[in-house]
Amino acid sequence: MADASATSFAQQLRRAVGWLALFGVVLGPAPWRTKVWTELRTPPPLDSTLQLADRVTADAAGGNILLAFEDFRHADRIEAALFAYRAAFAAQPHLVYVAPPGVVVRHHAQLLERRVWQQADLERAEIRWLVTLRRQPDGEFDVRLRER
Amino acid sequence: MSALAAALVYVASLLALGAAFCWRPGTPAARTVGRACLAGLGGGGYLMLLARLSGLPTPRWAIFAAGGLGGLALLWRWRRSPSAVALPAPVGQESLLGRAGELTSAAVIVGSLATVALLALAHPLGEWDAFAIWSLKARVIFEAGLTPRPPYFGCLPQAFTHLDYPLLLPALTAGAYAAQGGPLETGARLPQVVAYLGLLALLYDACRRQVDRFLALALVAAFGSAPALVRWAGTGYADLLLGLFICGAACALLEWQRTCAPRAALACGACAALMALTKSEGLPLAAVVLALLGCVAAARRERRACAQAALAAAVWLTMLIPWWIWSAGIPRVDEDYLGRLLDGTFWRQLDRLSQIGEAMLASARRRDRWGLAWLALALAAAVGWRRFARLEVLLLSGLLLAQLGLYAAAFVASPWQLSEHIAVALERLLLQTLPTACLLAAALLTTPAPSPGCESTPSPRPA
Repeated sequence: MADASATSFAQQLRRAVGWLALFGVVLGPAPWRTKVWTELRTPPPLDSTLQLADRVTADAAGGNILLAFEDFRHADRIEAALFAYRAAFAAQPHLVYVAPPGVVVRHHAQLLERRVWQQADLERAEIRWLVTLRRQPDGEFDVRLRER
Repeated sequence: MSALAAALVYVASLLALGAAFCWRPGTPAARTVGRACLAGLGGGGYLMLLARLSGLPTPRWAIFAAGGLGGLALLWRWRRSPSAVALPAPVGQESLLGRAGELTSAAVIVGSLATVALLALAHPLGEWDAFAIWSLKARVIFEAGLTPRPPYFGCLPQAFTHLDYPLLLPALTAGAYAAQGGPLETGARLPQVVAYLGLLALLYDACRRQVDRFLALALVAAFGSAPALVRWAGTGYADLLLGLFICGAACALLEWQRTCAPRAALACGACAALMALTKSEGLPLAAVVLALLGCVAAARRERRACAQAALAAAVWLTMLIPWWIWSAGIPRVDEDYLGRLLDGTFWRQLDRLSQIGEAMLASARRRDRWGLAWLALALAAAVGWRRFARLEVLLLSGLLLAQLGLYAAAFVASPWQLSEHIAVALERLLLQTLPTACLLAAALLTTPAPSPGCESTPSPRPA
């Protein structure tokens, strides 16, 4: 009888761990309350960014591009990545750089450095085109392409 | 055919191949789904990688035809199998509260799967490594193949980081590009949704062997829906796929330990090879899995078990040889961990360990990243401490500790500034341990059911 009682208690204890784990998901910071859902609810304007990337890379064909976001915001991070991805696919896969000014970024050719772009970086990476993007009040980007 | 429809046919083809390979009559649904996802992604991805390494193209018609053949083979096997006797569903075994817990867990799991699918299909590729490493390699494979080796893999000044990373995920993504008729992002991450589904199904099936249905569902909900896992699963990184193969290898290891079936040993060797072909850390982890397999064989002291362990190692080696031959000579741009171990850097930076340990503990305590999954594992260890004498608990504990030790060693040897490397990588490395942790929690919470050769009762401690 004592054995049966102990077994039942142990079983209840095991199930209590299950309930705790479940509460951790249901009542805790479940995925729908975290960054995942926040990002899903505010998707970037995919199509316009991709079209923009196509246009810029077509205009700047043949040279390395430095893409710079003025007044860089966190939401622009996705667009910057998208832009580089699309441009890499459209033109030269290895020679597109994204550099929000004032924001530490990765320069992939330099052993995992993460830093702000300096003039020397532009020389070293043989950047030919500077693309500046400024977000307008309507959410679209004003784009300026300048040859160095 | 729209791009998304083509991507759906692509993953259906992979699943048909996987199911045709691993389906057995009377197998529980979760096991069938989990194994079909594992075999479809792993086997299909490996075949496509092998074809590319051999200089063969993988056009859309070939992928779809292979999937069609897989479907026919599955249908043929299903029709030839003896009809299973339907067992009556257990009635009245679960209380109303328990039933509510099961439903809640199932809802959480379905919600997480839907979130991952949305993230993969409706959200553009936006993480650095996802496009700069994995998708770009997929694009290179799609455009240029792998033989002869494209200049991308040898041109340092123009290279993104990690030229030497394994190519299983890019091969799978390149297959999606081929199926869609171009390098379209639309359905390129659909295989990752399948990987997440497969991981959940495998975890549930493995937990269900150990604990009742409520507890199995609750554990899968807690570990499989951890925010960090859901956050990264559909983003295009390879960590989820590696987690799936680690889970597959661990499940096969446990099955082999229970049954000594040759098929389980072969599956363990194959999953270990797929781990090594998915991410760099998969190689040492695969060695750990095979070492655990060897330990079990040695403990059994049976010639048959040792032969099967050797066979698993041979499968592992055979699957990796083409990749090793092809990738020899690819420059290591950065993070040459083996080199830094050999040149003494690792030992000089050993004082980083305390900071790494603190960072791991601090991360594990973050409820916005892990829910209460790690707390649940700690409580399971406290409740089921007697189970540490069981071989399967020892194996899973060994694998989990080896994973954590390996990640700590990587941070010790890292050329990065430590705090920065921890900030960008620790969460993704820890999520690779979630499947092992979930299996371990289930093994610790299992109801004792002694079976010959596997169970041992701890001797009572002296007072």
